[in-house]
Amino acid sequence: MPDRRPPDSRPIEERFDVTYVRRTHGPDLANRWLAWLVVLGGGGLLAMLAVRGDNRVYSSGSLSAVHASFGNDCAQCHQPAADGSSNFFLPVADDACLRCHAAVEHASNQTQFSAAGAVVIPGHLEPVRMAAQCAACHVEHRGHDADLNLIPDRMCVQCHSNLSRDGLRPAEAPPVPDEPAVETGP
Amino acid sequence: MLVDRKHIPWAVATIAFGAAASAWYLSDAPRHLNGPSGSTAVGLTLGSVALGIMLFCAALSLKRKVPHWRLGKASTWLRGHIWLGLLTCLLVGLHAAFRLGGPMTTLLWVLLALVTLSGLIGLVLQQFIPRLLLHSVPGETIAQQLRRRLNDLPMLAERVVLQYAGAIDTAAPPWQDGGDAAGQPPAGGEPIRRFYLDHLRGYLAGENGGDMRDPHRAENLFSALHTMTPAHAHAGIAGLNSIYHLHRDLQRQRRLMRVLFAWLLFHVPLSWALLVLVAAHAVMALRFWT
Repeated sequence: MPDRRPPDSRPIEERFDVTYVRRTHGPDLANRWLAWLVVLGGGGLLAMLAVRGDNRVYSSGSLSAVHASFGNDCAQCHQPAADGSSNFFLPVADDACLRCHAAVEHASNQTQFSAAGAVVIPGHLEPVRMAAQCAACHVEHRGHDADLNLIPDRMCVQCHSNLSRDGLRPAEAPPVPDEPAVETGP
Repeated sequence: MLVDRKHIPWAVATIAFGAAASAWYLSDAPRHLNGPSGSTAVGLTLGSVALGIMLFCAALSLKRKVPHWRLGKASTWLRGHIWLGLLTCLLVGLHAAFRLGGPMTTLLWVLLALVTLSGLIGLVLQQFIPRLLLHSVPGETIAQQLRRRLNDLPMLAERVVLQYAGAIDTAAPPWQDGGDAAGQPPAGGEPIRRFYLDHLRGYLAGENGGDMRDPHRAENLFSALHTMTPAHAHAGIAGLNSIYHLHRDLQRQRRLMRVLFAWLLFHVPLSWALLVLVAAHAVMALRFWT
Protein backbone atom coordinates (compact mmCIF):
# COMPACT_ATOMS: atom_id res chain seq x y z
CA MET A 1 0.00 0.00 0.00
CA PRO A 2 1.43 3.39 -0.91
CA ASP A 3 2.78 5.45 1.95
CA ARG A 4 0.37 8.16 3.05
CA ARG A 5 2.98 10.20 4.84
CA PRO A 6 3.90 13.10 2.58
CA PRO A 7 7.41 14.50 2.78
CA ASP A 8 6.94 17.22 5.37
CA SER A 9 9.78 18.44 7.52
CA ARG A 10 7.75 21.06 9.38
CA PRO A 11 7.29 20.73 13.14
CA ILE A 12 4.00 19.22 14.25
CA GLU A 13 2.52 22.50 15.47
CA GLU A 14 2.82 23.79 11.91
CA ARG A 15 1.49 20.67 10.29
CA PHE A 16 -1.61 20.54 12.48
CA ASP A 17 -3.84 23.13 14.07
CA VAL A 18 -3.24 22.25 17.72
CA THR A 19 -5.81 24.80 18.96
CA TYR A 20 -8.73 23.08 17.26
CA VAL A 21 -10.08 21.77 20.58
CA ARG A 22 -10.93 25.31 21.61
CA ARG A 23 -13.28 25.81 18.67
CA THR A 24 -16.60 24.23 17.78
CA HIS A 25 -16.51 21.93 14.81
CA GLY A 26 -18.41 23.14 11.72
CA PRO A 27 -21.23 20.57 11.75
CA ASP A 28 -21.68 21.01 15.52
CA LEU A 29 -21.90 24.76 15.03
CA ALA A 30 -24.51 24.34 12.31
CA ASN A 31 -26.49 22.04 14.58
CA ARG A 32 -26.34 24.53 17.40
CA TRP A 33 -27.53 27.40 15.22
CA LEU A 34 -30.37 25.37 13.74
CA ALA A 35 -31.46 24.14 17.15
CA TRP A 36 -31.55 27.68 18.55
CA LEU A 37 -33.41 28.87 15.49
CA VAL A 38 -36.03 26.18 15.94
CA VAL A 39 -36.41 26.73 19.67
CA LEU A 40 -36.66 30.50 19.40
CA GLY A 41 -38.85 30.36 16.32
CA GLY A 42 -41.22 27.78 17.76
CA GLY A 43 -41.28 29.41 21.16
CA GLY A 44 -41.88 32.79 19.59
CA LEU A 45 -44.78 31.49 17.54
CA LEU A 46 -46.41 29.92 20.59
CA ALA A 47 -45.87 33.10 22.57
CA MET A 48 -47.51 35.13 19.82
CA LEU A 49 -50.53 32.85 19.86
CA ALA A 50 -50.70 33.10 23.63
CA VAL A 51 -50.61 36.88 23.54
CA ARG A 52 -53.43 36.92 20.99
CA GLY A 53 -55.39 34.46 23.10
CA ASP A 54 -55.63 32.06 20.19
CA ASN A 55 -55.78 28.53 21.59
CA ARG A 56 -57.25 26.78 18.56
CA VAL A 57 -53.99 25.05 17.82
CA TYR A 58 -54.30 23.12 21.08
CA SER A 59 -57.75 21.77 20.26
CA SER A 60 -57.96 17.99 20.62
CA GLY A 61 -60.23 17.71 17.60
CA SER A 62 -62.76 19.64 15.57
CA LEU A 63 -66.07 20.62 17.14
CA SER A 64 -69.42 19.16 16.18
CA ALA A 65 -71.53 21.02 13.64
CA VAL A 66 -73.91 22.41 16.29
CA HIS A 67 -71.05 24.14 18.13
CA ALA A 68 -68.95 25.03 15.12
CA SER A 69 -70.32 28.57 15.01
CA PHE A 70 -68.26 29.53 18.04
CA GLY A 71 -65.46 27.07 17.35
CA ASN A 72 -62.91 29.88 17.36
CA ASP A 73 -63.78 30.91 20.89
CA CYS A 74 -62.64 28.33 23.39
CA ALA A 75 -63.88 30.49 26.26
CA GLN A 76 -67.49 29.76 25.34
CA CYS A 77 -67.10 26.39 27.04
CA HIS A 78 -63.72 26.43 28.78
CA GLN A 79 -64.07 28.79 31.68
CA PRO A 80 -62.30 29.33 34.99
CA ALA A 81 -63.70 27.52 37.99
CA ALA A 82 -66.77 29.20 39.44
CA ASP A 83 -65.23 29.43 42.89
CA GLY A 84 -62.43 31.54 41.46
CA SER A 85 -59.78 29.19 42.81
CA SER A 86 -57.72 29.37 39.67
CA ASN A 87 -57.73 31.29 36.43
CA PHE A 88 -55.20 28.94 34.84
CA PHE A 89 -57.31 25.79 34.64
CA LEU A 90 -60.23 26.01 32.23
CA PRO A 91 -62.44 22.96 32.57
CA VAL A 92 -65.85 22.64 30.97
CA ALA A 93 -68.29 23.19 33.82
CA ASP A 94 -72.01 22.54 33.59
CA ASP A 95 -72.67 26.28 33.77
CA ALA A 96 -71.20 26.68 30.28
CA CYS A 97 -73.68 24.16 28.86
CA LEU A 98 -76.64 25.44 30.90
CA ARG A 99 -76.25 28.92 29.45
CA CYS A 100 -77.80 27.61 26.25
CA HIS A 101 -79.25 24.20 27.07
CA ALA A 102 -82.15 23.78 29.45
CA ALA A 103 -80.95 20.43 30.70
CA VAL A 104 -83.46 18.58 32.87
CA GLU A 105 -83.19 15.38 34.85
CA HIS A 106 -82.58 12.55 32.45
CA ALA A 107 -84.52 10.06 34.62
CA SER A 108 -86.91 10.40 37.57
CA ASN A 109 -84.64 8.59 40.00
CA GLN A 110 -81.52 10.14 38.66
CA THR A 111 -78.88 10.41 41.31
CA GLN A 112 -75.63 10.36 39.48
CA PHE A 113 -75.80 13.47 37.38
CA SER A 114 -77.70 15.79 39.59
CA ALA A 115 -74.89 17.48 41.42
CA ALA A 116 -71.45 18.66 40.72
CA GLY A 117 -68.62 16.47 41.94
CA ALA A 118 -67.78 12.83 41.59
CA VAL A 119 -70.22 10.19 42.74
CA VAL A 120 -69.17 6.71 43.73
CA ILE A 121 -71.72 4.03 42.95
CA PRO A 122 -71.72 1.63 45.88
CA GLY A 123 -73.24 -1.76 46.29
CA HIS A 124 -73.03 -4.84 44.18
CA LEU A 125 -71.69 -3.04 41.20
CA GLU A 126 -68.02 -2.38 40.79
CA PRO A 127 -67.33 0.99 42.33
CA VAL A 128 -67.13 3.35 39.43
CA ARG A 129 -66.38 6.96 39.87
CA MET A 130 -68.45 8.97 37.44
CA ALA A 131 -68.14 12.64 36.83
CA ALA A 132 -71.37 14.46 37.40
CA GLN A 133 -70.84 16.73 34.42
CA CYS A 134 -72.54 17.20 31.11
CA ALA A 135 -69.20 16.70 29.40
CA ALA A 136 -68.81 13.29 30.99
CA CYS A 137 -71.30 11.82 28.51
CA HIS A 138 -71.78 14.54 25.91
CA VAL A 139 -68.21 14.66 24.67
CA GLU A 140 -67.12 17.31 22.22
CA HIS A 141 -64.07 17.55 19.95
CA ARG A 142 -65.03 14.30 18.22
CA GLY A 143 -65.35 15.75 14.76
CA HIS A 144 -67.79 17.80 12.72
CA ASP A 145 -70.27 14.96 12.22
CA ALA A 146 -70.40 13.81 15.85
CA ASP A 147 -73.86 13.80 17.46
CA LEU A 148 -73.67 14.92 21.06
CA ASN A 149 -77.09 13.39 21.75
CA LEU A 150 -75.89 9.99 20.73
CA ILE A 151 -74.76 8.45 24.00
CA PRO A 152 -73.27 4.98 23.72
CA ASP A 153 -75.15 2.23 25.52
CA ARG A 154 -72.21 1.56 27.76
CA MET A 155 -72.89 4.86 29.50
CA CYS A 156 -76.13 3.41 30.79
CA VAL A 157 -75.01 -0.17 31.12
CA GLN A 158 -72.20 0.93 33.41
CA CYS A 159 -74.83 1.20 36.12
CA HIS A 160 -77.90 -0.50 34.71
CA SER A 161 -76.32 -3.74 33.62
CA ASN A 162 -78.94 -5.94 35.28
CA LEU A 163 -82.41 -4.38 35.28
CA SER A 164 -84.05 -7.16 37.31
CA ARG A 165 -81.37 -6.90 39.96
CA ASP A 166 -81.80 -3.19 40.02
CA GLY A 167 -85.48 -3.62 40.78
CA LEU A 168 -86.98 -3.12 37.40
CA ARG A 169 -88.24 -5.75 35.02
CA PRO A 170 -88.00 -4.72 31.40
CA ALA A 171 -91.79 -5.06 31.02
CA GLU A 172 -92.42 -3.02 34.14
CA ALA A 173 -90.00 -0.27 33.37
CA PRO A 174 -91.83 3.03 33.16
CA PRO A 175 -91.81 4.54 29.72
CA VAL A 176 -89.07 7.03 29.21
CA PRO A 177 -90.68 10.43 28.69
CA ASP A 178 -89.93 12.19 25.49
CA GLU A 179 -86.89 14.34 25.90
CA PRO A 180 -87.97 17.97 25.91
CA ALA A 181 -86.70 20.08 23.05
CA VAL A 182 -83.36 21.58 23.74
CA GLU A 183 -83.63 25.31 24.05
CA THR A 184 -80.88 27.17 22.40
CA GLY A 185 -80.47 30.84 22.54
CA PRO A 186 -78.17 33.63 23.46
CA MET B 1 -22.44 3.27 18.26
CA LEU B 2 -22.25 -0.30 17.08
CA VAL B 3 -25.24 -2.48 17.86
CA ASP B 4 -23.64 -5.42 19.65
CA ARG B 5 -24.33 -7.81 22.53
CA LYS B 6 -24.28 -5.02 25.06
CA HIS B 7 -27.57 -3.82 23.63
CA ILE B 8 -29.38 -7.04 24.51
CA PRO B 9 -30.23 -6.10 28.14
CA TRP B 10 -31.53 -2.76 26.91
CA ALA B 11 -33.65 -4.42 24.23
CA VAL B 12 -35.08 -6.90 26.73
CA ALA B 13 -35.88 -4.15 29.23
CA THR B 14 -37.49 -2.00 26.54
CA ILE B 15 -39.68 -4.86 25.35
CA ALA B 16 -40.64 -5.79 28.90
CA PHE B 17 -41.51 -2.25 29.86
CA GLY B 18 -43.43 -1.77 26.63
CA ALA B 19 -45.40 -4.94 27.24
CA ALA B 20 -46.20 -3.89 30.80
CA ALA B 21 -47.35 -0.45 29.66
CA SER B 22 -49.51 -2.00 26.94
CA ALA B 23 -51.07 -4.44 29.38
CA TRP B 24 -51.84 -1.63 31.81
CA TYR B 25 -53.39 0.41 29.02
CA LEU B 26 -55.52 -2.49 27.77
CA SER B 27 -56.74 -3.37 31.23
CA ASP B 28 -57.71 0.22 31.94
CA ALA B 29 -59.27 1.10 28.59
CA PRO B 30 -62.70 -0.55 29.14
CA ARG B 31 -63.18 1.34 32.39
CA HIS B 32 -63.63 4.66 30.64
CA LEU B 33 -66.97 5.58 29.21
CA ASN B 34 -65.46 7.61 26.42
CA GLY B 35 -62.63 5.21 25.76
CA PRO B 36 -58.99 5.64 26.66
CA SER B 37 -57.41 9.04 26.18
CA GLY B 38 -54.52 11.15 27.33
CA SER B 39 -56.56 12.68 30.14
CA THR B 40 -57.13 9.44 32.06
CA ALA B 41 -54.81 8.48 34.90
CA VAL B 42 -53.10 5.86 32.73
CA GLY B 43 -52.87 8.23 29.78
CA LEU B 44 -51.40 11.00 31.90
CA THR B 45 -48.90 8.65 33.50
CA LEU B 46 -47.72 7.21 30.21
CA GLY B 47 -47.51 10.68 28.70
CA SER B 48 -45.46 11.92 31.64
CA VAL B 49 -43.09 8.97 31.38
CA ALA B 50 -42.69 9.63 27.65
CA LEU B 51 -41.91 13.29 28.38
CA GLY B 52 -39.36 12.26 30.98
CA ILE B 53 -37.67 9.97 28.47
CA MET B 54 -37.58 12.79 25.92
CA LEU B 55 -35.85 15.00 28.48
CA PHE B 56 -33.34 12.23 29.15
CA CYS B 57 -32.67 11.87 25.42
CA ALA B 58 -32.13 15.63 25.15
CA ALA B 59 -29.77 15.50 28.11
CA LEU B 60 -27.30 13.51 26.01
CA SER B 61 -26.29 16.62 24.11
CA LEU B 62 -25.95 18.56 27.35
CA LYS B 63 -23.89 15.82 29.01
CA ARG B 64 -21.26 16.16 26.29
CA LYS B 65 -20.68 19.74 27.36
CA VAL B 66 -19.66 18.69 30.87
CA PRO B 67 -17.55 15.54 30.41
CA HIS B 68 -15.72 16.27 33.66
CA TRP B 69 -18.89 15.79 35.71
CA ARG B 70 -18.52 12.00 35.41
CA LEU B 71 -22.17 11.26 34.75
CA GLY B 72 -21.54 7.76 33.47
CA LYS B 73 -20.14 6.25 30.33
CA ALA B 74 -21.06 7.88 27.07
CA SER B 75 -21.82 4.47 25.56
CA THR B 76 -24.36 3.74 28.29
CA TRP B 77 -26.03 7.09 27.74
CA LEU B 78 -26.15 6.43 24.01
CA ARG B 79 -27.68 2.98 24.44
CA GLY B 80 -30.29 4.48 26.74
CA HIS B 81 -30.91 7.23 24.22
CA ILE B 82 -31.56 4.69 21.47
CA TRP B 83 -33.73 2.18 23.33
CA LEU B 84 -35.68 4.56 25.52
CA GLY B 85 -36.20 6.74 22.49
CA LEU B 86 -37.81 3.80 20.70
CA LEU B 87 -39.92 3.06 23.76
CA THR B 88 -41.19 6.65 23.68
CA CYS B 89 -42.98 5.97 20.42
CA LEU B 90 -45.04 3.23 22.02
CA LEU B 91 -45.73 5.25 25.16
CA VAL B 92 -46.89 8.23 23.12
CA GLY B 93 -49.16 5.98 21.11
CA LEU B 94 -50.73 4.55 24.26
CA HIS B 95 -51.02 8.03 25.78
CA ALA B 96 -52.87 9.33 22.71
CA ALA B 97 -54.90 6.13 22.31
CA PHE B 98 -53.39 6.02 18.83
CA ARG B 99 -55.38 9.06 17.72
CA LEU B 100 -53.96 12.04 15.87
CA GLY B 101 -56.12 14.55 17.74
CA GLY B 102 -55.98 18.23 16.85
CA PRO B 103 -53.43 20.41 15.05
CA MET B 104 -50.84 20.45 17.81
CA THR B 105 -50.94 16.74 18.54
CA THR B 106 -50.88 15.86 14.86
CA LEU B 107 -47.77 18.00 14.47
CA LEU B 108 -46.25 16.24 17.46
CA TRP B 109 -46.89 12.89 15.83
CA VAL B 110 -45.16 14.06 12.64
CA LEU B 111 -42.17 15.40 14.56
CA LEU B 112 -41.88 12.24 16.62
CA ALA B 113 -41.91 10.15 13.47
CA LEU B 114 -39.24 12.32 11.82
CA VAL B 115 -37.02 12.34 14.89
CA THR B 116 -37.29 8.58 15.30
CA LEU B 117 -36.69 7.94 11.62
CA SER B 118 -33.67 10.24 11.45
CA GLY B 119 -32.29 8.62 14.57
CA LEU B 120 -32.65 5.15 13.08
CA ILE B 121 -30.99 6.31 9.86
CA GLY B 122 -28.08 7.66 11.89
CA LEU B 123 -27.82 4.41 13.79
CA VAL B 124 -27.69 2.44 10.53
CA LEU B 125 -25.03 4.75 9.10
CA GLN B 126 -22.91 4.29 12.20
CA GLN B 127 -22.86 0.54 11.65
CA PHE B 128 -20.78 0.68 8.49
CA ILE B 129 -19.35 4.14 7.78
CA PRO B 130 -16.78 4.10 10.60
CA ARG B 131 -15.68 0.63 9.51
CA LEU B 132 -15.46 1.89 5.94
CA LEU B 133 -13.29 4.75 7.11
CA LEU B 134 -11.02 2.38 8.98
CA HIS B 135 -10.45 -0.01 6.09
CA SER B 136 -10.61 2.19 3.01
CA VAL B 137 -9.14 5.45 4.27
CA PRO B 138 -5.64 4.64 5.58
CA GLY B 139 -4.71 8.31 5.61
CA GLU B 140 -7.63 9.28 7.84
CA THR B 141 -7.05 12.31 10.02
CA ILE B 142 -8.96 14.14 12.74
CA ALA B 143 -12.14 15.59 11.25
CA GLN B 144 -11.29 19.13 12.37
CA GLN B 145 -7.90 18.90 10.63
CA LEU B 146 -9.26 17.86 7.23
CA ARG B 147 -9.38 21.29 5.66
CA ARG B 148 -5.92 22.27 6.87
CA ARG B 149 -4.37 19.02 5.67
CA LEU B 150 -6.02 19.29 2.27
CA ASN B 151 -4.90 22.91 1.90
CA ASP B 152 -1.31 21.96 2.76
CA LEU B 153 -0.95 19.25 0.12
CA PRO B 154 -0.49 21.54 -2.94
CA MET B 155 2.21 23.40 -1.05
CA LEU B 156 3.99 20.16 -0.11
CA ALA B 157 3.78 18.93 -3.70
CA GLU B 158 5.33 22.15 -4.99
CA ARG B 159 8.20 21.77 -2.52
CA VAL B 160 8.91 18.30 -3.87
CA VAL B 161 8.82 19.54 -7.45
CA LEU B 162 11.10 22.46 -6.63
CA GLN B 163 13.54 20.14 -4.90
CA TYR B 164 13.80 17.78 -7.86
CA ALA B 165 12.96 20.01 -10.82
CA GLY B 166 13.82 23.59 -9.92
CA ALA B 167 11.31 26.31 -10.80
CA ILE B 168 7.74 25.27 -11.53
CA ASP B 169 6.50 28.15 -13.63
CA THR B 170 8.32 30.95 -15.33
CA ALA B 171 7.56 33.05 -12.22
CA ALA B 172 9.48 31.36 -9.44
CA PRO B 173 7.59 30.86 -6.11
CA PRO B 174 9.05 32.61 -3.04
CA TRP B 175 10.27 29.38 -1.43
CA GLN B 176 12.20 28.27 -4.50
CA ASP B 177 15.39 26.63 -3.41
CA GLY B 178 16.01 23.94 -6.02
CA GLY B 179 18.66 23.88 -8.65
CA ASP B 180 22.38 23.63 -8.66
CA ALA B 181 24.88 26.34 -7.95
CA ALA B 182 24.49 27.81 -11.44
CA GLY B 183 20.73 28.18 -11.01
CA GLN B 184 19.90 25.35 -13.43
CA PRO B 185 17.19 22.81 -12.52
CA PRO B 186 18.41 19.44 -11.28
CA ALA B 187 19.07 16.87 -13.97
CA GLY B 188 16.16 14.60 -14.86
CA GLY B 189 13.62 16.78 -13.08
CA GLU B 190 11.81 18.07 -16.14
CA PRO B 191 9.42 15.05 -16.40
CA ILE B 192 8.48 15.62 -12.79
CA ARG B 193 7.78 19.27 -13.46
CA ARG B 194 5.68 18.49 -16.53
CA PHE B 195 3.79 15.76 -14.69
CA TYR B 196 3.01 18.17 -11.86
CA LEU B 197 1.87 20.96 -14.16
CA ASP B 198 -0.14 18.75 -16.53
CA HIS B 199 -1.84 16.44 -14.01
CA LEU B 200 -1.21 16.77 -10.31
CA ARG B 201 -1.58 20.50 -9.72
CA GLY B 202 -5.07 20.64 -11.20
CA TYR B 203 -6.11 17.54 -9.28
CA LEU B 204 -4.88 18.91 -5.95
CA ALA B 205 -6.63 22.20 -6.67
CA GLY B 206 -9.90 20.36 -7.06
CA GLU B 207 -10.39 20.92 -10.74
CA ASN B 208 -12.87 18.61 -12.40
CA GLY B 209 -11.76 16.13 -15.01
CA GLY B 210 -8.21 14.95 -15.52
CA ASP B 211 -6.60 11.55 -15.47
CA MET B 212 -5.71 11.69 -11.78
CA ARG B 213 -9.32 11.16 -10.75
CA ASP B 214 -9.11 7.57 -11.94
CA PRO B 215 -6.71 5.72 -9.61
CA HIS B 216 -5.75 3.21 -12.31
CA ARG B 217 -4.84 5.94 -14.79
CA ALA B 218 -3.02 7.79 -12.06
CA GLU B 219 -1.06 4.65 -11.26
CA ASN B 220 -0.12 4.30 -14.94
CA LEU B 221 1.04 7.91 -15.03
CA PHE B 222 3.22 7.43 -11.97
CA SER B 223 4.67 4.24 -13.47
CA ALA B 224 5.46 6.05 -16.71
CA LEU B 225 7.04 8.90 -14.76
CA HIS B 226 9.15 6.35 -12.93
CA THR B 227 10.63 5.07 -16.16
CA MET B 228 11.29 8.56 -17.51
CA THR B 229 13.29 9.81 -14.55
CA PRO B 230 16.72 8.88 -13.18
CA ALA B 231 17.03 6.87 -9.99
CA HIS B 232 17.86 9.84 -7.77
CA ALA B 233 14.49 11.40 -8.64
CA HIS B 234 12.45 8.35 -7.64
CA ALA B 235 12.22 9.55 -4.06
CA GLY B 236 10.51 12.66 -5.34
CA ILE B 237 8.05 10.57 -7.34
CA ALA B 238 7.35 8.53 -4.21
CA GLY B 239 6.71 11.77 -2.36
CA LEU B 240 4.24 12.97 -5.00
CA ASN B 241 2.60 9.55 -4.98
CA SER B 242 2.05 9.69 -1.23
CA ILE B 243 0.65 13.20 -1.54
CA TYR B 244 -1.73 12.01 -4.26
CA HIS B 245 -2.98 9.04 -2.22
CA LEU B 246 -3.32 11.14 0.93
CA HIS B 247 -5.41 13.65 -1.03
CA ARG B 248 -7.68 10.85 -2.26
CA ASP B 249 -8.04 9.49 1.27
CA LEU B 250 -8.87 12.85 2.77
CA GLN B 251 -11.44 13.58 0.08
CA ARG B 252 -13.07 10.23 0.69
CA GLN B 253 -13.00 10.86 4.42
CA ARG B 254 -14.66 14.23 3.86
CA ARG B 255 -17.45 12.66 1.79
CA LEU B 256 -18.10 9.89 4.28
CA MET B 257 -18.08 12.26 7.23
CA ARG B 258 -20.54 14.54 5.50
CA VAL B 259 -22.92 11.59 5.24
CA LEU B 260 -22.17 10.61 8.83
CA PHE B 261 -22.96 14.11 10.13
CA ALA B 262 -25.74 15.15 7.74
CA TRP B 263 -28.46 13.22 9.49
CA LEU B 264 -27.71 15.12 12.70
CA LEU B 265 -28.75 18.36 10.99
CA PHE B 266 -32.27 16.90 10.85
CA HIS B 267 -32.29 14.91 14.06
CA VAL B 268 -31.07 17.54 16.52
CA PRO B 269 -33.17 20.58 15.48
CA LEU B 270 -36.29 18.44 15.03
CA SER B 271 -35.73 16.95 18.47
CA TRP B 272 -35.60 20.39 20.04
CA ALA B 273 -38.73 21.41 18.14
CA LEU B 274 -40.45 18.30 19.46
CA LEU B 275 -39.39 19.11 22.99
CA VAL B 276 -40.64 22.70 22.85
CA LEU B 277 -44.00 21.70 21.42
CA VAL B 278 -44.43 18.78 23.81
CA ALA B 279 -43.89 21.16 26.72
CA ALA B 280 -46.53 23.51 25.31
CA HIS B 281 -48.89 20.59 24.72
CA ALA B 282 -48.45 19.31 28.29
CA VAL B 283 -49.16 22.71 29.82
CA MET B 284 -52.16 23.50 27.64
CA ALA B 285 -53.67 20.01 27.85
CA LEU B 286 -53.65 20.27 31.63
CA ARG B 287 -55.09 23.74 31.36
CA PHE B 288 -58.08 22.61 29.31
CA TRP B 289 -58.47 19.28 31.08
CA THR B 290 -62.09 18.39 31.76
